[in-house]
Amino acid sequence: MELQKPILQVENLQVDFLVKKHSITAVSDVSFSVNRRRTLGIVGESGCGKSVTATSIMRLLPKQTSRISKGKILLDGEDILTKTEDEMRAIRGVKASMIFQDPLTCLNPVYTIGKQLCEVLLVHKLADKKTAVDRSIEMLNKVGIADAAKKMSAFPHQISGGMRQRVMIAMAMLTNPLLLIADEPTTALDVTIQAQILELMEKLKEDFDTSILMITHDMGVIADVADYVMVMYAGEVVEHGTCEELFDNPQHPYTVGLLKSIPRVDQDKEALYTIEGMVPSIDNMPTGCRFANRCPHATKRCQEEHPGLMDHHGHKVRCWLFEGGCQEEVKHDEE
Amino acid sequence: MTDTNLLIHKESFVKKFVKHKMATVAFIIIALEVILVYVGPLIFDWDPYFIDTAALGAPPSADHILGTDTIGRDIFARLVYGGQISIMVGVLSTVVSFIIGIPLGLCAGYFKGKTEILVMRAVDIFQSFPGMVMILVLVAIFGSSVLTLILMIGVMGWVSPAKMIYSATLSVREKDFVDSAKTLGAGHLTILVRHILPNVVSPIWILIAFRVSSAMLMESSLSFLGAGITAPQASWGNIINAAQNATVLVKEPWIWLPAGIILFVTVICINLIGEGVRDALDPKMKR
Repeated sequence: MELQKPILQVENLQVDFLVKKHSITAVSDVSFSVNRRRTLGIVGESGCGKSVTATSIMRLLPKQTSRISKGKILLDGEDILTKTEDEMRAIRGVKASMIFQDPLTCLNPVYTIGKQLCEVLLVHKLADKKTAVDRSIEMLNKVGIADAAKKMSAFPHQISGGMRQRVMIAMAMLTNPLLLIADEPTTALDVTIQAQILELMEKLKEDFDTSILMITHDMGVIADVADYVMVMYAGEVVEHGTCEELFDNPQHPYTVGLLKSIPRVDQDKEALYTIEGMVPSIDNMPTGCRFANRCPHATKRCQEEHPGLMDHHGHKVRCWLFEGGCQEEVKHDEE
Repeated sequence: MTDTNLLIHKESFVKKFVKHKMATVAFIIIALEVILVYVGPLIFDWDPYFIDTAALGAPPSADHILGTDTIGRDIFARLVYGGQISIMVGVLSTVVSFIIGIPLGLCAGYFKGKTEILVMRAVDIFQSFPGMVMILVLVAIFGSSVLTLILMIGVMGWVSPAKMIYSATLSVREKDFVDSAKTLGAGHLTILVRHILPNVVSPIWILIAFRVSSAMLMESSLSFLGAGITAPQASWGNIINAAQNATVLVKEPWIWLPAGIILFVTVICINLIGEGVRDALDPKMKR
């Protein structure tokens, strides 16, 4: 399984924002890969760099204010960062598609569903008008929309939220992309619809041989769909491993905190667990571990020395505790 | 539609427009006016230049249903021919304004940066001129013909469509569907024309009407001042021009009153049509 060539490979990605002519690092040293038909979940609280990472893969960060300053992004073996804007346009929507949080605002209110679906194929000249219509209807059927032919003439505001997200997914999958980036695809939906959408994505992943990059702050969603999980904190990867490994044996105190703060019905608790404090602001990052000021186990070393990502049989953790806790760990010299 | 499908409540544009009663009446008035003005002369023998020496400044009669002006020309015929000019100037100068204003506003709002600065400073410069005085000066330089009048009123009028499109574009460019279109591989032109333009045009409809009516008023004002359409050619403005004479103003109201009324009615009707069209086109508008 691990011998497979990964669909997406991100190496040491660093993204800088330019704020008032100062360069501020928003995401640093992010490396991961996604194999064919696998789902990688990226979790973390707001502002930790999840979406920036995803947007970098599409090369859609605002040009005036941000820059990918280091690293490599290989999509299907090709380096995305060396592509011209025209070449990127041919990649977006064909090799990699993206779906967003709120499907209502992502659909253009002045066009019918059908028109918007067909446009994807027409923009990339993948079909003529007639086949575009046929393929769109077929795709709508696949994402579980009954009466697809009729729904083609509906406007976005005439269908329900869950159905809109299905349409967005249909739009993204229409070109049969290698990679589907889902940026909090279920956050705006209610729980029952959420489960349906996740199930649908799972099914499409198998049918279309697609890999998924799932961005969310919902640990429940991650547990549901992800094969691998990457936890991000303040622009860095703090823990990365298989889904089982991470849920059964979380190592980083931040991950532990995240898992503890999931509401559980089977426990009679008055208040939810919260991680004290705030994410450090990106223009004022501590020199030591970025989580140190919120960490219950922080030592003097954590305050002063920045931990690298330590790898233990594929389970990577950025924490000094992990270094001591495991005997045969392989240390990466990343800093 | 045999089955009651909720999704097919897409009413036709006409149906929605007709619901706006005032706009419908206004539309009928303007339609009749346009037919009268452009088709009437083809059928009937109305001559705006013929001077009836027997009836100088005559009040309405069987021969001249709206009377004659001080040199004996038929007022009704002059109103009809003047209408051709006034309507043409109104419509074509609006076209000129929009051809300049829409692309500039779109680009300024979408690309931002240097394009935005350039366009919006140009808007400021144009706005800081009194348009009327500017046109008077230009008329003095280039002379006044229908064509120069259309171009000048048109060019002076690019500011309001540009500003309207610009501000609408600023908000629409931040919408998720624009990002979504980008992730699906759409280029700048596709995004501008296919995604942003349709979402910013609905306020344009009312503006079109407003521009047409204000261009007509502008033409009339210029003609009234003697800087627009000049005699013997007729326009509603230069018919009203006769009222500059105190005797005509007080004693011979049939000369200028009909032109004034028709200009007034036309401007109001055009504005009402603009409103009706906007309401009928706006998918978010529920009536």
